[in-house]
Amino acid sequence: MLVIRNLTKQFYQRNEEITVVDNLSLTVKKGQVFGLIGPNGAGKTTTVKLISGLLFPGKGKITIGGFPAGSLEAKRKIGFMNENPQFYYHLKAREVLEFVADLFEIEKAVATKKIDVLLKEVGLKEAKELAVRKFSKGMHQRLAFAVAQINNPELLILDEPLDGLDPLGRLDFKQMILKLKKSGATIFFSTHILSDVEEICDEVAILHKGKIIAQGSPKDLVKSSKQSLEELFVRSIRNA
Amino acid sequence: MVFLGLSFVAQINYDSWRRYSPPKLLGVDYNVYIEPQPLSPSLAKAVSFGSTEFLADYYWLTLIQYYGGGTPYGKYRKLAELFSLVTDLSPKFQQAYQTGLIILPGEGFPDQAITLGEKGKKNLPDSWEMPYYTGLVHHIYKKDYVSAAKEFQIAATKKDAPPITQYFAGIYYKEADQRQLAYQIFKTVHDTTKDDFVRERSGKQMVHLEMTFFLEDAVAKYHQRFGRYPSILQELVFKQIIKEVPISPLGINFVIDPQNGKVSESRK
Amino acid sequence: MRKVLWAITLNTFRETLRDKLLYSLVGFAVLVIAASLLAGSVSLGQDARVIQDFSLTAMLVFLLIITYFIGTQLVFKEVERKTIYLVLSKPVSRETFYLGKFLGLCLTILVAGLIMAVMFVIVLFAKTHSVPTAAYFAAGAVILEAWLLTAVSLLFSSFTSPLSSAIYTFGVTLIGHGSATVWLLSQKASPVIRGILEGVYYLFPNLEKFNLRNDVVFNLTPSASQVGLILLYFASYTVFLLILGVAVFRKDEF
Repeated sequence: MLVIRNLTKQFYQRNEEITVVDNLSLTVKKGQVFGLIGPNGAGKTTTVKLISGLLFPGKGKITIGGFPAGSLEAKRKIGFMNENPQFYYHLKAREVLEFVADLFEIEKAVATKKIDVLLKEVGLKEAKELAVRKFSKGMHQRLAFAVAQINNPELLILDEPLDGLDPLGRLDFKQMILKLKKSGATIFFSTHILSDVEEICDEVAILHKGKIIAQGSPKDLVKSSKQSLEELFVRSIRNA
Repeated sequence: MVFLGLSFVAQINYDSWRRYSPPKLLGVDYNVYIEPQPLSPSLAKAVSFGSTEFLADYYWLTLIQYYGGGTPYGKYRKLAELFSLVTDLSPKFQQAYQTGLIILPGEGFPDQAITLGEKGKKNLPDSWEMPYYTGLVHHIYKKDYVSAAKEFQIAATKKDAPPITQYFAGIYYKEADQRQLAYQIFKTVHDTTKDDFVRERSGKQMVHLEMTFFLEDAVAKYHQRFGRYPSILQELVFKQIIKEVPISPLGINFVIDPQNGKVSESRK
Repeated sequence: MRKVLWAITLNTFRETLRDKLLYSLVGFAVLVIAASLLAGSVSLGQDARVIQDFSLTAMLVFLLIITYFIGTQLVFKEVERKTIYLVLSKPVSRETFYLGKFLGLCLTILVAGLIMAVMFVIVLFAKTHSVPTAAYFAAGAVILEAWLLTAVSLLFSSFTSPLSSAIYTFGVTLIGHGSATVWLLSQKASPVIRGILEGVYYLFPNLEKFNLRNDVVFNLTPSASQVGLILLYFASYTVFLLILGVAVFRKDEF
């Protein structure tokens, strides 16, 4: 579903070239839940943005369902939720979803039904006519999650989806992701919270300074190193 | 921004109030504050975003306020400059030229008025008012009757000029002692005008001038015979050169200057 | 594609409407038009002139303020508030996004311009009981000029900060209105300078083409060919600006 080959991305800061993503390669199979973990500044958000076409690769290739990332066809297949999602202040929740539905050129009747379903799913049914500027952070994230699913995407890309949520919110989100997993969705998400990863992911990759330093299913990684994932994580980072 | 707008309107009203309130309320010097500082024409055009007519209006309003506000300097120093700027920005602003031609000479700027008039003639070539008003300035303030007459002749050729315009040209030439020219003009007017009053007046002027020429011929004959000029016109009758001194249809008496034999009108 | 374009256009339009700046501008313009009534009455009978000139110039100034302040921030705000991620991660091409922003602001300017024009016509009619046809043409041309400068401000804002864009766009406005002076200067200059100045004359938008305001006082309506020329110039120059802007914007990363 998602194939990344030799992806490299560099930025120029104060006349210095910084390599944020360094020769990254990974594959996410259909129906998998893949977690990209790493400390702050590892390049997780950059990778996510490269997959969703907001940034352009310096070197390497990314394909989604066979289409290059950033192309319109690829974007039709994905649902994207970015870190700290923001919406247009002047809109209500329902209007945000209607706007996004228009961007996907979804028919009005179909969209209206789907919007109701999604809002219920993410727990925002009562807030349907509420102006977005009055939303709490948790509500923002829920709405963003709904937005990401409006087009029934083949691949869901989530950047730090559980960041900043209260325990109740985190529980809700995890349940939603598991539910989607059961229905066969492919999910790629980045996070620095390891407990989430252990519960939900089929496969994880540990990212450090733009490079993958460990990859595999959580169970396998824990078994082979005979440590908890957290200990493994810390040691890998320290040793890298 | 709404408050900015309100303060702007308040400022206009405040300025008007200050201008029209009596000076002794606030001390003599307050008018210094209001003396306008018009921009140069090229600078004004540059900042106008192309809205030259708008700027012309703005300076027109400034001019009116300035003129209406009195001045402690005894003279409206900026008046000519303002008229010049307004007409530079809006060359076809006829009202501005006319007002300037009327006001400027009275305030002590007859030359600037004439310059303004020339500009008006150039920019509004079809207007009869431009040469007409300019001619008036020549007559009233510069006592330059020939120039006045020329202006009136030009004015008379424009569409819609009042019928009496050409007649006035004749009057001015007569005043300037250009009598032959005046006679021709009166004759033309008399023959061509459709206005009864004007035709009648022109006819009378013609007769008057004919009489003047008649008298001058007689004076020349007298001079030839007696080597000097008659001291009064009656002498021409006494010496039997003419039968009688003609009475002008204009009701003006003829007099003679004994020094040079010139026949002119008595100024009673 | 058209549905997507319209969605972004409408969204941009609604977003600028909620911007309080816009309301104050329209209100202020309305105020100035009313003030011109006052000025007209102390102008020695030149009411019609004053009302027409003041109103049309106010219309231009305030539409341009909308362009400078809102137009230059259109893209910047999206990036700052991160709403741009919302849109560009969807199947929306960069061209569509850019064009949608442009059309949205044009719609805003059209609405604001129409409100101002209606007020102007009402005031003029109330005072003088006649509205010269030239006035409608002049108002229309003001709106076209604002649209063209919107394209300019959008172009600048795709590669520089809002403040710089506003300053550059203002500069373009001044030069655009002074193009006649530039041309005259060029005719008198040495060949090298002449070449440069002529280049400037053709490169910068000749905004005086859209200046029908000075003819309103004399009720000189533009001929059909003049109107055609204005529209053609507007269309071609604006399209040129949009193509340029899209080319830059395409390379932008977020």
